[in-house]
Amino acid sequence: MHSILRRDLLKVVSAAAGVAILRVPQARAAGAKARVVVVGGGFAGASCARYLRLLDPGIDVTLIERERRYTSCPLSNEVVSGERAIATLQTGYGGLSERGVRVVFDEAARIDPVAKTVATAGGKSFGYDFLVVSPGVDFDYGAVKGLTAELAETRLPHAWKAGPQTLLLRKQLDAMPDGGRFIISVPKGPFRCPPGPYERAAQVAMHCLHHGKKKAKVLILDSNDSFSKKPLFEEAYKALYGYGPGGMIEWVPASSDGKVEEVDAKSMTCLTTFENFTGDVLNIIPPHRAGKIARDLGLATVNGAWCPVRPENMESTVHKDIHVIGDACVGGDVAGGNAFPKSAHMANSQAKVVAASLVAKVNGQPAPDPIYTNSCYSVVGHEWGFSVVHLFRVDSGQWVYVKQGSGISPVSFGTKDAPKPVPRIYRKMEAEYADGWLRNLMADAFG
Amino acid sequence: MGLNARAFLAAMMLAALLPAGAAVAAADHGTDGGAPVAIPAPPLLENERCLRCHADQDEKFVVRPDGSLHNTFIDTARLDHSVHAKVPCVGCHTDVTKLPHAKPLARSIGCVDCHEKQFEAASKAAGAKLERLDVVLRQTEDYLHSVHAKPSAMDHSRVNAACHDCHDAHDIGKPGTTQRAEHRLKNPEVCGACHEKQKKDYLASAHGKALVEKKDTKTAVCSDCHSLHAIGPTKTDPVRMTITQNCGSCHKEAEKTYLASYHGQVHRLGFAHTAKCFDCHGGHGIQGEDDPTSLIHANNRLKTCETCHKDAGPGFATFQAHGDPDNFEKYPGLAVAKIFMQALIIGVMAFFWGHVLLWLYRELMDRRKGIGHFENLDQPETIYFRRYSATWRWIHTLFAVATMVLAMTGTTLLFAHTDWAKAVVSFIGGPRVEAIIHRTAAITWVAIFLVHLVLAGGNIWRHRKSFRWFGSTSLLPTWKDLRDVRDMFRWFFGLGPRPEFDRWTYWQKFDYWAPFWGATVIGLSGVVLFKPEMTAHLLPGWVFNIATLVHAEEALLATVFLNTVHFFNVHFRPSRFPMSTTIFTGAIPLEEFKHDHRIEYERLKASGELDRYLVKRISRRADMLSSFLASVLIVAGLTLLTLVLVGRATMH
Amino acid sequence: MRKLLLAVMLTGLTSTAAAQTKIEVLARTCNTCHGTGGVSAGTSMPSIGGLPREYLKRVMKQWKYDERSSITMGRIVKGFSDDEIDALAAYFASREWTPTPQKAAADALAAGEEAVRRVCTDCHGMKGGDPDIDAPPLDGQWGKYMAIEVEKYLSPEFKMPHRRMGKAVTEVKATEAEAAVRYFGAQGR
Repeated sequence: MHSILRRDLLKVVSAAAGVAILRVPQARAAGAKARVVVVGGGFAGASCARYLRLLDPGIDVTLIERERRYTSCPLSNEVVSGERAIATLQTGYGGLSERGVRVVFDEAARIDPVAKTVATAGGKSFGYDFLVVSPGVDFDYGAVKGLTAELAETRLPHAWKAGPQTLLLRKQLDAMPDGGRFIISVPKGPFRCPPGPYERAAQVAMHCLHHGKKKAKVLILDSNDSFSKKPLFEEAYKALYGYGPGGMIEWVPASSDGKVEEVDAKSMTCLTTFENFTGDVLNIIPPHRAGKIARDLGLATVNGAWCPVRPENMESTVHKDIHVIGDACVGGDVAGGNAFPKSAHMANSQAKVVAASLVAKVNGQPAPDPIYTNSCYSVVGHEWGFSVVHLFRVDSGQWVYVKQGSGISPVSFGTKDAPKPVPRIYRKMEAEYADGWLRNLMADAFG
Repeated sequence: MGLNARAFLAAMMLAALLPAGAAVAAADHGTDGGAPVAIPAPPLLENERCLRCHADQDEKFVVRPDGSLHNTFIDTARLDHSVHAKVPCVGCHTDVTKLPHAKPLARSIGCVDCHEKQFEAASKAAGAKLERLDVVLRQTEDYLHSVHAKPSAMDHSRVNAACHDCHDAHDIGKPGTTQRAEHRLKNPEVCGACHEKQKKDYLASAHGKALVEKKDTKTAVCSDCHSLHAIGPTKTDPVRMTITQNCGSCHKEAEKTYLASYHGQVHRLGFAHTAKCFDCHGGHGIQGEDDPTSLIHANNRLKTCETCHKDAGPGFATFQAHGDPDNFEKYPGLAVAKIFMQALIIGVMAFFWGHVLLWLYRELMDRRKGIGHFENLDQPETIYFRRYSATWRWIHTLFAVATMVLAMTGTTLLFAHTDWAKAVVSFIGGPRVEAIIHRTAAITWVAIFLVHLVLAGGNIWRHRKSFRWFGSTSLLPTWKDLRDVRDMFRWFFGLGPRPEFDRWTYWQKFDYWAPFWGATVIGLSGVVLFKPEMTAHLLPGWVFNIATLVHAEEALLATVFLNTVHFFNVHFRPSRFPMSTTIFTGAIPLEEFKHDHRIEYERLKASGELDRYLVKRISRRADMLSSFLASVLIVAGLTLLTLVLVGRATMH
Repeated sequence: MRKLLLAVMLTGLTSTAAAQTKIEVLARTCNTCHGTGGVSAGTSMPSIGGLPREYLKRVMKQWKYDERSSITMGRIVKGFSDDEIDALAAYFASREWTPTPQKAAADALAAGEEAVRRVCTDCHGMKGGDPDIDAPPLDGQWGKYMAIEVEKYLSPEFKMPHRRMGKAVTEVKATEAEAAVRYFGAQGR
């Protein structure tokens, strides 16, 4: 053959070979018991990948995550108010890599549940024995007229995925003048972090107080008629900021026409059914749904938005060997009104259940009885915080919400007829514990 | 650098920032190298540190893992007033080297070790006061030899009772303090922790009631009878002896009278097979005499005696176990008997010792003057007068031996407090054996006496027609004897010549008749003592008391008299010194006979019968044998006398 | 017969294994706040891996039965059975105590020395690493957490049943307590 031909041939062959190599799914690492691929490296995915490796280093684990750094949503409201540096909420994936997780910074594009492969946008393909899908939430911008994804990045940040939007919102708050109005639009539940918007309201109010903006107002326009830890928030609002029409914080429930139907970025106006509200800062939190990849795969069969799973191991009811954890799933005692809250702690808890069940399955052992727990802290002011805890067990294939192991911080001491206020020291310590809780949550998930 | 490595580095830097952020929040600025500052260990654990937990009024108990409560509280007020006040906590609790200390502490404190070391250290140090360490050490010695220091039958890893089982080392009061007295009052509780039945019995007893109801510290508590630390099994003899002695430490009067009784005498000799205080009065459950449940209550007494004396007669119940002849009000009969016997002894001995001393004086005076009868040893007598037949010689020897045996085996009881008595009884083989010997000798003595009576009676009967009751050869006292007494005394004082005697001098007659009195008194009382069960069926119990007293007093009289007066009269007076073997050989040198029984000599010579009685001088062998026999008896007698006098003198 | 025996043995083994797995699942839920394996990342949350078994059991039961005040733990342990509490205590006690020493300045440490020696070490041991049977080790525990605990003992709003600890914290001044906490937090292996 001619040298040129040979060169071309070589090129073609190598290109084909390269393509072929790229297309060929990742072969099972030598000696691995099973391959697990985790899509999405938030609290759920990272915890799952980490614990799989912790419990059985013989399992090959691949984590596909778009961003190289993760910013924790929990306590990001303190960044908005300026009480916390965002760096304290951020982490990379080095801890997971050290554990032997193969971290792939890419976006999962397509999942083939039959062939059991995951294809990424970057052109890689990963085969799996078990798949964990934890894409988090996606925002239905279309549900609010006049809202777009682009606007959310620039003018009307939801800051409901911590990161640049958080800092943007903070900047907007800093720029808000005294007497200004900060509007938070709360979507209809379920949404990620049920107490989040109300904590944000308090943090914003605190910022205003600390920065001499005593006449500023925080208006919560709520698509719901109640919210998580309501009596605790209201007690704090009343004590610290003033609550109601005369106070700094005002809450408009759905029944009082609080649902925001439309938003006008130019005039900075929120439009509910009957009212218009203008604000200096519009923090529009759109309705949520499961992350796109989960919906594309057809896993989100509850209201087309959320992925149902089996109680014993979070396996999708739609596809076998695919587990959905984190905000994307729906679980808990839904019928009894005690569904899983969408929280980082819950995600971490579900991740451990999945890890334990997969490790048991891979090693031919019976799966252990799962236990799901949650504790969420809200910091509403200087030395003022409170929390909620949840405990779920599984009995006869059903989730059981364990009431005596759950509940919010005490609203009052004493008896019903002779109530006593909860001493301030309790609220102070909750705020202190919130910090420790976050540190450990991050360490437990990301290493 | 690869992608992952860069990310890793970034993550590391971030991870380093997180604690830095916290450090900023806590306003710490680390400037030191990093090694934490160490606190140097304190040299000794001060009491205050221990007392922080151990003197905590609000938390006196801890719950052990097995659920049991454990008292950890130290009453410092009491500790500060106790003997251990100056000892630091870790002075005893040496295995506490750091705080917190292991719980529970591995081992108990060794009281003995520490006290021994303290004692050694104190003995060596010049000018140091032992205080009561030597007492403590003796007590620990007692303890170590006691039954409490032996391994427990139920658990060989422990002793029956260790120091801390009875003593709260934190609360040992100095002697004389109320702390100490309280400990004494608690004694039954302490012992009763293990000895529950005994405690129950004790608390129902007279002693116990006095303690509990009247808080009488003088009443007996466990340690008073069982001794403080030298506690042994109460089934063994030495322990029973000790307890009996201990009763006497309070009940002195009772002890005195008990020791004067046969039971007490046997006990005193060191033999346990006899009634001891608790055998009659009961032990733990002891009650006063008036208590109807008392073992010595009038209704119960006989039954109590029957425990040992199976055939006890009703007289046992009226026996005065603690009869005291010095107590006229309570025991008039006994007191009178004592007074009478003592008067008799004093009277007889006074007279006869006077007689002996004066005779000695007279013979010595005469010797100086060169008058009187002396045996010329260069020219020994060759002709002897046969005074005694073989019968009399045997009777006398047997009598002498029996009397000495009786005296020896009897005075060991009377003088049970002496070492010689204890040695003799042990040598013999115990009170039981001694009793057998004594009674055998007594029966022998009485038999001899009765045999002699039969012989003498027979003799008289055979010669009844010609027997002259008050003749010259009669042993019956006559007026001449009275005159002889008078004349003898006159001779003693140099106021007249020595009287002349017929066959029997007055003192020989006395020697003959005195045993009749003795036989009656000692014999009859002896029968009572020998067979109390039988006697008690016929006679009341106080007869036994009197029998015991007169038996002893009369025996004493006899022993002293025989070994002093009789020996002097026969052997020791200078004209006879060192001895007379006549009663053994049967023959008296003629010259001596002429000197001592001149009237008989003259009479026999006059009637021509003298030759009938004359014998050649005894053989040298016979002489030596008889001298030997006499010597033995004399020495035995004198030894017995010495022992008895020692016993009498040391009797309190 | 051998098969039966094997079956019985395996059942026994698996049931103990199952019990162990069960408690591990429960214990893992604690990791979220107390750190993986009970080694906390700080600063207000305590490390619990390696704490004494009796201590953990007692405290959790006191929370459960409202004998001890708490912020969050009381709500959580009420959802556990007493057996689960016992098993959790045993599980965490079986892990090795891992101090996470937090650096402190020498003079800051010296400030607390006297108070530590006078009040703390008799129950918590020298350097806080040799505690009494009913006390936790303090060496390398998180300082912020310990400070919060001291605050609880001092506050009349909290029911803290350990009398001696309650008394002990009143025997030091606030600055001494702070320095003591710092001292113990700086200790480590």
